[in-house]
Amino acid sequence: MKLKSKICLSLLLLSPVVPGHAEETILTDSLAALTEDTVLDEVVVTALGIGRERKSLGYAVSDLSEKDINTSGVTSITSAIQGKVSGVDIRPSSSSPGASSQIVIRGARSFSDSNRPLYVIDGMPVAANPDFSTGNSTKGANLADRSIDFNPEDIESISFLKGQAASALYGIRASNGVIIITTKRAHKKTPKPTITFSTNLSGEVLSRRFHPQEIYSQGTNINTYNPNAATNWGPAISSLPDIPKYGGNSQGHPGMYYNPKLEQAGLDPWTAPAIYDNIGDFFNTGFTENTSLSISQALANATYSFGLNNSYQKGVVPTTDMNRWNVRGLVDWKLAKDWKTGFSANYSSVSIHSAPGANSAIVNTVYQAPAEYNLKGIPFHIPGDPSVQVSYRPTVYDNPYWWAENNQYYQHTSRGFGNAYLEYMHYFGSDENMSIRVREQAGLDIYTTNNSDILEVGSAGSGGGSVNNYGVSKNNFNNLFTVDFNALFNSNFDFNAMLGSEIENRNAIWRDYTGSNLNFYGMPTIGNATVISGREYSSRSRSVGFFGSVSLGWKSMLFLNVTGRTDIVSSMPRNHRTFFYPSVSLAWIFTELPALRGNSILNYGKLRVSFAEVGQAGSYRENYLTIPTYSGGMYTYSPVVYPINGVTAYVPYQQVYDPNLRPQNTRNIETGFDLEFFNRRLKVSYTLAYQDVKDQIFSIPTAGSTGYRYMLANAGRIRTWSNEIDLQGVILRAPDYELNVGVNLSTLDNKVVELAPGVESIMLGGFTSPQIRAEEGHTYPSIYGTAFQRTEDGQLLLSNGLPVATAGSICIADCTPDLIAGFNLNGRWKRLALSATLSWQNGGRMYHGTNMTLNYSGVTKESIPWHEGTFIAEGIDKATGEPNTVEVDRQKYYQAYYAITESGVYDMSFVKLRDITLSYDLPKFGPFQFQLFAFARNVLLWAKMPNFDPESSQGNGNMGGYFERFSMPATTSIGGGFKVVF
Amino acid sequence: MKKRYNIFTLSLCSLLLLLFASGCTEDEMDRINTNTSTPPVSMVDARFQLSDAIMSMAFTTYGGSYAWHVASYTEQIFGDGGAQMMFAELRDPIITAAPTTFNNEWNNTYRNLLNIKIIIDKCENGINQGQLDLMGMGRVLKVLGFQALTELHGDIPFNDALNEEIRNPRLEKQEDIYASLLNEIDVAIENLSEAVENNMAYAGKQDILYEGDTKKWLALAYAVKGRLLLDGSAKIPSNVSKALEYAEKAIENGFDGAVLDIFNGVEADNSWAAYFRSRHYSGACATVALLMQERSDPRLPIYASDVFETGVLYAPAGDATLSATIDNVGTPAWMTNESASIKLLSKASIHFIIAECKRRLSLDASSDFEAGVRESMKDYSVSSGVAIADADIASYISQFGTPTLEEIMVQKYISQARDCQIETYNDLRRCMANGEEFIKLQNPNNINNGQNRWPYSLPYGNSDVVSNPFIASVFGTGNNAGYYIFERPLWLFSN
Repeated sequence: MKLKSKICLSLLLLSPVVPGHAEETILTDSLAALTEDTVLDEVVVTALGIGRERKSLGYAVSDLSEKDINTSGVTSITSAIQGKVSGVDIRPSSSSPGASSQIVIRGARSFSDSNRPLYVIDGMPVAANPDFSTGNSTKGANLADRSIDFNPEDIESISFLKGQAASALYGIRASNGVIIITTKRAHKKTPKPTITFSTNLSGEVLSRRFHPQEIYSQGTNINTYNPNAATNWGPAISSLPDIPKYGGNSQGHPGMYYNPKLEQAGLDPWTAPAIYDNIGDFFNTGFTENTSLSISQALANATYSFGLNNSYQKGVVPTTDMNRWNVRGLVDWKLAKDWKTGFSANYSSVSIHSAPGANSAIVNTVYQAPAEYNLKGIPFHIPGDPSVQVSYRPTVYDNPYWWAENNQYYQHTSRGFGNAYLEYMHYFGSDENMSIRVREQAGLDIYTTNNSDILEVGSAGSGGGSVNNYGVSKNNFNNLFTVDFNALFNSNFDFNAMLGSEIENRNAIWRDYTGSNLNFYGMPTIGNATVISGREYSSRSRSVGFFGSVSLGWKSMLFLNVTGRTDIVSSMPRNHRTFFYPSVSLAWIFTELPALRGNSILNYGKLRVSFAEVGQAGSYRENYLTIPTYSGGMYTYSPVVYPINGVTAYVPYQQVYDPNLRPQNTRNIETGFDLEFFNRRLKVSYTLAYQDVKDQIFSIPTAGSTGYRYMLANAGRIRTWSNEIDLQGVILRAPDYELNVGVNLSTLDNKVVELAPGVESIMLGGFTSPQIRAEEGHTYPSIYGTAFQRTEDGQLLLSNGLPVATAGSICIADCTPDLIAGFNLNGRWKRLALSATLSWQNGGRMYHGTNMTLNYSGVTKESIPWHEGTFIAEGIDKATGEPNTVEVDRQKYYQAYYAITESGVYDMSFVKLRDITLSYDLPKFGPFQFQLFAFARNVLLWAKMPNFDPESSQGNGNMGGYFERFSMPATTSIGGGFKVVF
Repeated sequence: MKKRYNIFTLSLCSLLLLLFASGCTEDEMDRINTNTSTPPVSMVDARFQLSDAIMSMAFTTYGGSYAWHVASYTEQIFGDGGAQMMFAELRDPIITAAPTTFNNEWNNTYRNLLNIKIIIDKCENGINQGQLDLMGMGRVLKVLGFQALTELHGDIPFNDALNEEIRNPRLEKQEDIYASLLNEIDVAIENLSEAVENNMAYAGKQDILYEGDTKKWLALAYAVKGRLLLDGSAKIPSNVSKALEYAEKAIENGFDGAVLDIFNGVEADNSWAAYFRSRHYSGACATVALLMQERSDPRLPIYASDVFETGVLYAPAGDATLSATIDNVGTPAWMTNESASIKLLSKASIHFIIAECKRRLSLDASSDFEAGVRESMKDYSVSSGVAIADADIASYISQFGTPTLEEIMVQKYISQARDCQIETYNDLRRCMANGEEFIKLQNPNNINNGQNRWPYSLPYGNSDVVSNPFIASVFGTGNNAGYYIFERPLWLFSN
């Protein structure tokens, strides 16, 4: 293929280009070439949006096209791509509207900083990390990550630059990999605009519904009904009329029992025992709607595209929802023969209402509700005063119905991002075998987030009520300037050189205002607060990068690519700001050897190997003082808020900064092969990647006796081996039908080799016990908490017949799964098409606080045999070293057992039907092309863990996916929709 | 046309390169990275650091989780709620020996001591040079902080601590730390005496304890020294007479208690009340209630208040069933008073210290005993808003005649149930070292399977256990990691 054709093809497919008169012929040529030789000249987007032939790459790049991404019934990109790409681990926090997802490519590189990849949309890096961390994730609601602003329906294709060689040109931001998104645009010249309208609707239910025991009542033991107890170990519900003190049989209310909560609620306190479905009563059927309208057209000198989208999701938990509007416009305009310009503009508005988990959870009161208590039916506040709650369990947890009526966790973001470019492209040399392209692109990513946590007067743990309004305004400017040179020296050598620079300016202003101790119920606003405190914080940073790359191809068989980038970063200490990162990759298409060329079985074979180094910068500050805050620990609110009576205070910030900070360094070696067999109907790809991260910059937890909690310095090492296998097969192919299957398998071994001198582990989040930690000598991350004391051969040590915990916390499980696999199926018969994705995760551990707590409280069905009777537990008596002979109450034993963190660690293995879609293309009706479809998503087929879906957890950071306690649930959705094109 | 474009391209490239180059000089990058939101350490006058040095000492170190837990060990408060405090009440090592239990207080006390260190440094060499009042206040607070740490944990990082260059501070012997603290309080007394002489008033309203009244700080310094001396009197019996000397000096200099009364239920809540509001884990304990009952103590209705209207006024120490319940056992009335004060050292305690020393030295302690009881009555009454009639107090005191040492200690114990639980824990261990058992601990869980489960000290904070090998090695590993706290008394509380 000629140079011009090649370049044009890549641009045609992947980046904005306007085919002018001259190119029109080439376009036809290119398309013809594409049809003839589809595989060899397939082009993928690589770093900085450069389109390259897939065969020339010395590293693995996975990409998904529009048809691979199943957007029906989902509102986030991460849900749309889950299970479809090897080496990309996506852990949704829940199915709640706007819930964050942790996405990590080839394992973590940073202990405490973000491990999320860089997102690039239409050539512009855009923010996708959460701006507000959920901290230790022990209270409050989940906070969205900013990838929620992107509409999955806008995606035309996604490339995943997984290894550092692939992403090295992005410099310091590239170490976590890059997700490059190209949005939809017009490709074919048409006399009139193409209008596409699509909508889909779905309903959601809990993917796995917990069914509590319905035999025993609220109480602390089998003999004691206690309407204030935190547990359901009480007497049989049917026996309540007979029990002393509360039973009605001896108090003139035969067949009834006395419940003081009914009296509080203004009802007759005498009631007959009955069983209520508190869980079924509480959770709604959720609802999701996605509607898109797009208009696009390619004209003689311009292409344009316009899109409008609305996504609305109503959660299964009352009052939770998300509403997103997206508008986008894209224009490419050919100015003159060598010149073109264009812009892409996107606007989004996202509002989310979410619900809290863990210590401020509301689902715990639902799950733990005693079966005899009518949680829905009994009023949730006392008559005449809505600020005094009535609940089966007093004071420290909200009645979920009261919560839904009164409290709110609200997030709203308005965002605009986009860029404009000017490009000059000129062909020269004999036969125009050389070209130069100069491109200047400037873009902005601006958004304002306003969040609000509202706790009304009467909220559990914050009786006086509080309002926390917080947010951030961000303004990120990006300028990218590149000069590209291409040459075909003769038919043997293909040369490309690129030089460029990039500047990024980031400004942010953070706000946080809290009003507490509200004057009266009914107006939860800062204006009604008696204590008001506020903070503002601004931050700025700049990074400037200079980069270059040289590629050389020889005889379409050997391809060498070398890149280098220097970054200068403001957020590092003086004289430590400049870093250089190189990469080199080599691809060898051995099937181009004369002996193998034209082989009928092995049609194509490539070996690839690459090496790269990239880094991450830290955020250095001169040591400073800050206004102290008092919260956390045992406090459920902030008991001390400065200024007090006009007095404020300063204390040293908890982190100290090392002025000798060096850039973190990630070295990556990757090798693999791509093979295609049987007329390219079977494709096999394998990648082995080794990654060694040294000199990590992280907040090293320091001994408290230093006076600091953290030191931002270089330390630690984490190394990762990852294996990725991708198989694609065309099982059937005929004009009327086809059937394709795909399999992707990933394994990961990411070991924390060392932390810092004297530091055994670092906390990523959690309670006192358990926590999610990075533990030296273990894979990342691990669960850390109290364990069962055991004999050397693993038997439980018992004291007085009961299990004993270690006093100190230890590493009790590694979280990383053994294998993550995705199976994709695409079939078509005439106008009927079926696609499905199945996810399988084998192994991996998580802490499931809900299961553990419900066992401890005698709520689960598993606990039914433990409510009555005694037994002699198996184990060794700690004092004597002999087998245990002490007989204990079963209840006592299992409460002791489930008080120990290790009992809450569960295997996360599961099989899930991620999505299945059946679609039917109606025959064309005038100008209208209709498609109807029906789908189901997240159908949990099997999980090793009992009672709950393992894909529900706390936190929006590195602990995400592994730490659960009364988190928002996961759901299954079923729905359908249609699409019309005209 | 083509040429013009090329010149244009070239100019554009040059301009961009120039822009980029000028945008990334070290000076420009420094300017961008300037922190405009929070002040560098050197910029801030130390008096602004004093306020929280006081608040943190009272709220976190003396009134926080250390106090909540040792109150269960001293049986002054019953731990319930079916969670963490239940395990403390059951003397389960899962809480009592866990390094995580006191991690926050360990970290926050050291962090406060770092703040205090910076105050003292600024008074020595920084922007507050020569401000002896501020320096003396810093030293008193430093002694209070390290005293709490060493008396609760034993050997701790001291000279190596609070230094960003030393990430793994060595442990030092309690004996050496104790001697250093006595020296430090002497220097504080010197600083404050000089500040009084020179009418220094640099702290002003930032001094939330005494509003910059240096004389009151001097009196507190004497009181702190008196208490510190008495705490070591089992080990060093000659301390008793010295403790008496300094405690009396405190009173002579107008010591009126180190009472932080800034709490107003609005911007600042009393730590016990905030804890109770958050968790409801604190109940009244029979050990205190029965001592009160035996004496017809007018404080009993305040101490065992039926706030949940269940009729269960108090619970026997260690009762497994009651500790599993929440909002069931009665609780001291002050638990619901967010405006109650917190004391670093109460006036009642100083009176009881004088009474104890005098009694041990065979001197008449009656008036000091009476003053102590009266102060305690006032404290119970003010903190709960329940009046106690003068006549009731008078008749109550009269029943004791010449107070015995035991009654002095019982009254101190009752008095300190209000908010000096750490001092009570010290008193119990000090008396145990003397072979005295004025307060008979009732919790059956103190012995489990024949093994002691009453903590002689508190486990180190987790941050040091996992990040400081010197502490990790003392803490131990395996099944019995952390169990050292059940094995031997601290140096200070042994003889």
